[in-house]
Amino acid sequence: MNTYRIGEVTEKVGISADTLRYYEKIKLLPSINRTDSGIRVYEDTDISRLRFIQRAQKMRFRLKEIGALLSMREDPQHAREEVRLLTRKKLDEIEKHLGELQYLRNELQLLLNLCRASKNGCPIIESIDQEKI
Amino acid sequence: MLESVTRDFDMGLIRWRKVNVLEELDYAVELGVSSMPAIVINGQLVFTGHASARRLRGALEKRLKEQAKIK
Repeated sequence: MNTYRIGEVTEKVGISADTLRYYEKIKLLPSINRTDSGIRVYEDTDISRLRFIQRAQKMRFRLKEIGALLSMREDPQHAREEVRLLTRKKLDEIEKHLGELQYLRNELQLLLNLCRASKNGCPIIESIDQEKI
Repeated sequence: MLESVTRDFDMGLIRWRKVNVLEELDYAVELGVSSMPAIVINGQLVFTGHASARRLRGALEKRLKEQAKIK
């Protein structure tokens, strides 16, 4: 089991020390173990939890929702009905988002390929640039 | 090429049209077109890149046979 000081966690996951302390305060993180001199010592499971929080935030989930999802993550078999429903709802949102991303990816791929095939530069990008001006 | 291949079939058996991808971008993406040229038959992307007349004829014949079976 690896352990990390707060500065190492900050570096590893890109979350500030203040935010880490805040997450602990609002119980998104469990109570972090301390050394005898009171220095927080994080474990791999905390890092994994923080990465989950980051991913959920990228999906624009609220901290309260993330807290509920974390409880599901910890003990899926005994999750409350409302947490299960929230997880289902969030899964649906992610799948919708994935579908939209896939569509956008395919569209951009097609545009890029059209640009590559064009002998006279890329008419699509040029027209987008002009619209911006 | 497409025109000459379709002429080999009975009149009216095959209807075809050229699509300007930039004008019908959503349609192209929905079909899964990722590069040009592409040939779609009955709403299904069949060829991406240059297809020979022989292969195109074969693909059209296959679908016509399938349709005849359904009828």
